[in-house]
Amino acid sequence: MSMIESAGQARKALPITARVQLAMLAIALVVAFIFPFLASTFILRLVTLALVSALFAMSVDLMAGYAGLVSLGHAGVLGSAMYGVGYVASKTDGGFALQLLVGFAAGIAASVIFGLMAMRSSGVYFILITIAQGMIVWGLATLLVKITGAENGLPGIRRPVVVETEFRYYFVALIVVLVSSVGLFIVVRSPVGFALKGLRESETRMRMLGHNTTWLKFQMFMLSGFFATIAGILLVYLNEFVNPTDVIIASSALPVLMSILGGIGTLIGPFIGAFVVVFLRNYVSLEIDRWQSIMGLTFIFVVLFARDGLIGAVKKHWYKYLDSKGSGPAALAATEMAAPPLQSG
Amino acid sequence: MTKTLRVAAILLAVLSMIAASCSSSDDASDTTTDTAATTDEGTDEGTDEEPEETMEEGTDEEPEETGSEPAPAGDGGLDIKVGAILPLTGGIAGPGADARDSLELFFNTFGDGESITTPGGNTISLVIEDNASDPAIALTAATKLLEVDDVDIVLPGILASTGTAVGDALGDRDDVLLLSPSSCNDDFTQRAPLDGYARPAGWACSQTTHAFGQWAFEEAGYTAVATACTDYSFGWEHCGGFADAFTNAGGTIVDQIWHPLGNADFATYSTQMNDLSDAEAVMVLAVGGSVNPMVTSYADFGLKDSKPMLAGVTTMDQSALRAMDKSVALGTIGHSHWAEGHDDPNTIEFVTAYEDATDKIASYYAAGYYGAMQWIVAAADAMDSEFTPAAMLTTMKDGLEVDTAFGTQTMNEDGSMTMTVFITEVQEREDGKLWNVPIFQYDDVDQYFQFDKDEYLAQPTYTKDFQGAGVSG
Repeated sequence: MSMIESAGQARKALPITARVQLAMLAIALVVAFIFPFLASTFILRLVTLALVSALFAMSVDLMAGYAGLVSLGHAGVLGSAMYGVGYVASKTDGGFALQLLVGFAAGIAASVIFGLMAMRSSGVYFILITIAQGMIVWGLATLLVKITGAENGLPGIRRPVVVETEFRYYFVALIVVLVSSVGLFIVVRSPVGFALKGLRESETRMRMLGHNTTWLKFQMFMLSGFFATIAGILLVYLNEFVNPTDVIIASSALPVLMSILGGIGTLIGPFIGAFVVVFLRNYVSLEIDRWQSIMGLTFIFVVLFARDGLIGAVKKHWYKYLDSKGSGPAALAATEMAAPPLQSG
Repeated sequence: MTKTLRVAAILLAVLSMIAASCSSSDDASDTTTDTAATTDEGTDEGTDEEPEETMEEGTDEEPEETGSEPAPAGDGGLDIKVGAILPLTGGIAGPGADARDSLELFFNTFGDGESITTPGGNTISLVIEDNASDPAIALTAATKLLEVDDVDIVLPGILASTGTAVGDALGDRDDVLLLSPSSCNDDFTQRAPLDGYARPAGWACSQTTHAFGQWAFEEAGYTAVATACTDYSFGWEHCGGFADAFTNAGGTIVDQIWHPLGNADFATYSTQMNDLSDAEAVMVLAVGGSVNPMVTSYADFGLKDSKPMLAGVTTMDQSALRAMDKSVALGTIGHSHWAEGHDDPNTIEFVTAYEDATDKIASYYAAGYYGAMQWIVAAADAMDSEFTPAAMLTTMKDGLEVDTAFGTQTMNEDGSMTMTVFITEVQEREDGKLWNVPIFQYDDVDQYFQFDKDEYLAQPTYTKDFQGAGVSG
């Protein structure tokens, strides 16, 4: 078998995987648009929450998974957007458009400030700076009582009448999250996305290649902050309430957990991780008192036995299956090794 | 994964497990066996006694004045479902467990553990959900209670934040009644009242400190006092009530120290209090896990003798007192609408039953949720119409007198309580346990007490910036 033939076979494995992925995506989309007609309001609310959490987790994964920079303060961006919407809705007569505008501006402003503060750091120092950023937002949320309502939070936030039911709001969230996911998909496959991966592999080498890594990190913060802001706006209209609990460090750690659980460095991983965590957190807690222990054990299990997350584990077994059929990457690589070298001349 | 990610992942995993074990530690150590005890009692009573007979044995009061006797107007037949959203995990899982234990005690004592039949022939059942001390989870739990369990009444939690979130989400619905025996945000029954909301067996955050401030000046004779309270809305309102009443009576607030929520190291604050040479006493508020470190630090710095502590409701509540060192707490003057050492027959009956079931002396959280159920039973039996949240609320406000674990209570037209506020002293019981015993009491305290209602409502809500007209910033 020639090298060209074996390379052709190797490409065959990808179409099979791609076809399965496309089929699963199609099924998921069909289910996503049909199931609201069958589900209870309670389940609809949980799924909407999972969708919004997935978008937030993907925004965090853009930094943690693609650039290798773990932020433990990103709830500060999410919360800034929530407080922006909440302040206008609760303390002024501003309409929906103004609420969106202020919420968006607050989230983006927080992203700019966070980016400027953290763009020169990396590794553990980056984590520490982002923790401090989250704590600053929490401190402001707790102390600026006239603006944030402190521990009492900001009540009186209402969705527009046309989407006030859980049923309709689900579709709003679904469409916004889908469009945002496509946007994130484009970002991670753009030159910036590849540069972020380079940053993860070796920042020194990226600098040697002429990249301005400081500017790259700022761009990363802005892109991630943009999607976190959208998630914040969706979340505040879902809960119709915001208080400092939304910006505590646990709220920043949760999307990192979701990403690691599902498969960090992929977009589908945080998505799946968000659904697992939201259902563990909200549904299992209604049945079992020790739900936090179950979540902790699940997380430890994944870290120890499926280091690439649930998606990584599924991919591993899928490739094993393909290998057993002779069309997996390992089987094709073995075939390739056995093939005679191409004759030159 | 890169090395940094792996380190972060393992760090998060460990933190997650620590958080899980910490938040459930009180629960695990106290209530695993407690629940078993409660269930055993419930099984015995549920099978050996008729529910109606058990409830009637619990009281000797006039029928129209009690929730434990048949009300003449009630023909029975109402089927009322109550949903309680409690912090069974998270930052205040301890008080949440106290509340759950008291609800289980009520339903085990008077029913089969899940529902009771009232003397008036009405059926009341209970569903409990965990809010993990998180408003977002409380909202999801509220949705489940309404949409899946179809409850008629919601008890929206202990924390101000969860109470506000659930109150805001459900307050404008006419198919559910919100009853809050613990969450105490002043404005829910003052400047921004919610429809379909009341505080049976509950309180407004500044209600008890209005009486405490007056007592400190008029009865204790203090003229200059400092305050050291937790820096968030409950602390501002609770402390503000004291400062406003104390200065209104003629006293002076010499300084106000604010410590962060969740703080565990009080050395710097004790040092600041030690430097307040003008202060004759310090009104101290701490909550949750901060109580023991604060009270211990106060004693360790020698302040207990030089500047007597005047304790806020949660500072010397039984939920904290259980784990407190005797030398630190004994003799401390506090105040509350709940005093477990009160010799009122209703209080004695509840404290005895609760201790038999759980091996704990009842806290104000336990008394509050038990009292709320007594209010619901009394109102259901007194209703002369089909159940609607509005009809039950009207019945509660319409001069109903209910014998609760706190004593006899009535509800105002604004949905808040008129009740007794006790000035208490921490004393040692014969068995060596600490409890709060009343040394003075103010009866018929409403949320405005010594203030004119209109003038009071015209001034701002108590915040860090406004602690009463007589307090200089």
